[in-house]
Amino acid sequence: MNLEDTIKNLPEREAPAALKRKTMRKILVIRYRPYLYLALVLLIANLVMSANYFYSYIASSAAWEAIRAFIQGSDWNFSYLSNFWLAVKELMPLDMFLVVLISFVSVIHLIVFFQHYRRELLKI
Amino acid sequence: MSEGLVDKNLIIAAKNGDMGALSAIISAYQPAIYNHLYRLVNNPDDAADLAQETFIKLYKNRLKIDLDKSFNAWLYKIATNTAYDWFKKRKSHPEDLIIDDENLNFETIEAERSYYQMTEIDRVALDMALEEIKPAARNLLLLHYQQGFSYQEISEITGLPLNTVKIGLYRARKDILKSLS
Repeated sequence: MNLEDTIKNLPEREAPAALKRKTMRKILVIRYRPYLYLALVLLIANLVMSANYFYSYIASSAAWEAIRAFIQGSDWNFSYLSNFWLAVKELMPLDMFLVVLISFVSVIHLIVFFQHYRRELLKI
Repeated sequence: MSEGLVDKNLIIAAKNGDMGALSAIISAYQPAIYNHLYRLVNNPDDAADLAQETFIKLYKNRLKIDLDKSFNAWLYKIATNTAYDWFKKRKSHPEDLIIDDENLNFETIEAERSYYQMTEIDRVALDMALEEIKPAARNLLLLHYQQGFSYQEISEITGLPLNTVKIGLYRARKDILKSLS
């Protein structure tokens, strides 16, 4: 064979079997990265809101008293429970609503994200 | 002119973000791209990494696909640039990636070419000789003879002027025969 034909007929180097799967996985990670970042931002926002909510809640003396009484268990009574409820009720409207809302959105977002990711992974 | 390995509709679908279409394109092109990169870098692991990088770049730049131009040539352009970047990162000799086009004209090249078409070459020896010549020269030989790209397409893939491609191929043939002898 001459030079041209010999180059044309050089033996094929076979690609590793897992190469395509690895490539597609990396592409999927790149594709879904913005959604993953959004999920993380929502999760962090959720954690911050929760921490803020529970801080306010713990800081309230009535709630703190109720928790302390609950832990000690000795002189626990209904007046603590009503104080506890009043404290929660007082703090709930804004903080609680936001915590619940962000939790709900982040959970739904994560479910949708993983479902899409799984579906795309199955297409490979 | 080299023929594409996939249907145009598949390329359009991949351009629109269809992962199934992209997966089909990767299946069709991966063996050839890997083989080309393997011969360029002479290492299976690096070739696999570069092939992966090539297809990731294909995904990232999918909106730049020009449906009126050869998709095949465009993908090999990405693969070639990826390999050249790899050579640069490894601090290879910069002159290895340059095609010298001085003191030659195309008539001389065509006259010499008939000689190479007549010469008998051993496949195993050629395989080894390919590893010895400059990567840029190796790239031209592989693109033209193995992948079947025209001079014009190689010019688009490598970004070299048409005449430089012709002269580069002539020099590459000469280098490889010198290496064989």
